[in-house]
Amino acid sequence: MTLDDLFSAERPLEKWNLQGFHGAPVFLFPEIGSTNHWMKERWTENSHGSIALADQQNSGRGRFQRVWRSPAGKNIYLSLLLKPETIPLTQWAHLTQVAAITLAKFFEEIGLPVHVKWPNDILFQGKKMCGILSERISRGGSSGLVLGMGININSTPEDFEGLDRLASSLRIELGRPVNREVFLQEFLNRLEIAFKDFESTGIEPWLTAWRGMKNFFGSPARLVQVDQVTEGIIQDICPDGSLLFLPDGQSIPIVIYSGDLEI
Amino acid sequence: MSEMNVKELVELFSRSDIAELSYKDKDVELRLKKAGSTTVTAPVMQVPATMQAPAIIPAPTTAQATPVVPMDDPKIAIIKCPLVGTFYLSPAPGQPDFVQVGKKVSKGDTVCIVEAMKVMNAIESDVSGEVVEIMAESGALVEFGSPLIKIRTV
Repeated sequence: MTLDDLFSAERPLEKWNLQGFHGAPVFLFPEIGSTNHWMKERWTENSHGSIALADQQNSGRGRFQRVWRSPAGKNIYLSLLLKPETIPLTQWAHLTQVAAITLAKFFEEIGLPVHVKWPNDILFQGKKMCGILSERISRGGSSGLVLGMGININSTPEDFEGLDRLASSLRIELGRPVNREVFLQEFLNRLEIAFKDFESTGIEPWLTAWRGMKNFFGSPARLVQVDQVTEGIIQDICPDGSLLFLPDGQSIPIVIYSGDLEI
Repeated sequence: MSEMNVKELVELFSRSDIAELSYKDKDVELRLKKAGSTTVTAPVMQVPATMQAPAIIPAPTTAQATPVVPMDDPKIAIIKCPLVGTFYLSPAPGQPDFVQVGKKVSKGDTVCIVEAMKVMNAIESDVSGEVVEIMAESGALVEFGSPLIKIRTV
């Protein structure tokens, strides 16, 4: 299969043939509670680049326990296990940003010019296409990252009815269904290369690519932190992946590490 | 000093134990102070108008008013925040807290989570003992070095 098969008819899930990094396994589930939870329970026994993939999640969650709608047979819900050998605690968030930027570049490659909303959501014209929630776990001095991604591939408009935020899918925006198996293997191939590159170059090339995406930097936004809402302008991304945000009426930007941006 | 150097300096400062830092060269003068280190209330970093640089957002005060035990007790260990983010005592809303006052913990146990940039970082205890104080409020912003959990070691 190649990228030319992206719009071909999809095979049944049980016939999918996918590989994680370095041939690491991809665990396929027709239905599961949460791929992140499954992988967190098994992170010590699985290798770097292993993946849990579900056709349907019953209790997929985003941050603040927001429900991530995971209907059967339409989208991609995966948890990728990363075990980088040496990385400072303050740089683990870079891994999620490299994943988001790599996915955004892949979206653009197949015809959808999206942008990455800090810290790592992917939006097309304000509509959410992908959400990422990661969990770093440690035991006995070693650590791993379970990187959970929900990618809207073939959802139709009725799947998003009643949501309090705008969302869309590749199928809606490209006008035809996408073969998820092809999409996923092509994305994983790019992601494996991206992480290898990141190990040698650091985050800066990705930040440069991020800054090149339109409709984000310079945009007005609302920053929600705990119970506090601040309106202002998105200025830049700092080298550590934090957000540089200029509150309205102020002349000095602030550095944000935790919070929710509403554009 | 370039704008990028300023950002890197701010990042290093935010991760350090240093409470206050001054820097001056021919182009720029910086004064960095961490919230809570002094009586700082306004922007904690000031630079000339041509070299606008970020301020570290002041985090809410999270420390409890009165220590339960004397600070010089050698058996007391304090788990400090290893990064800037949001402190959570439980793995998810509605779920039990990792620890409560009086709970015994072993070295390596997860005692809390600090969320930064949508990475939920499980924070482990590096000692065994009994929790004597929760020093931050769940859901509050915490900074590098903020005290989180006080433990009487065994």
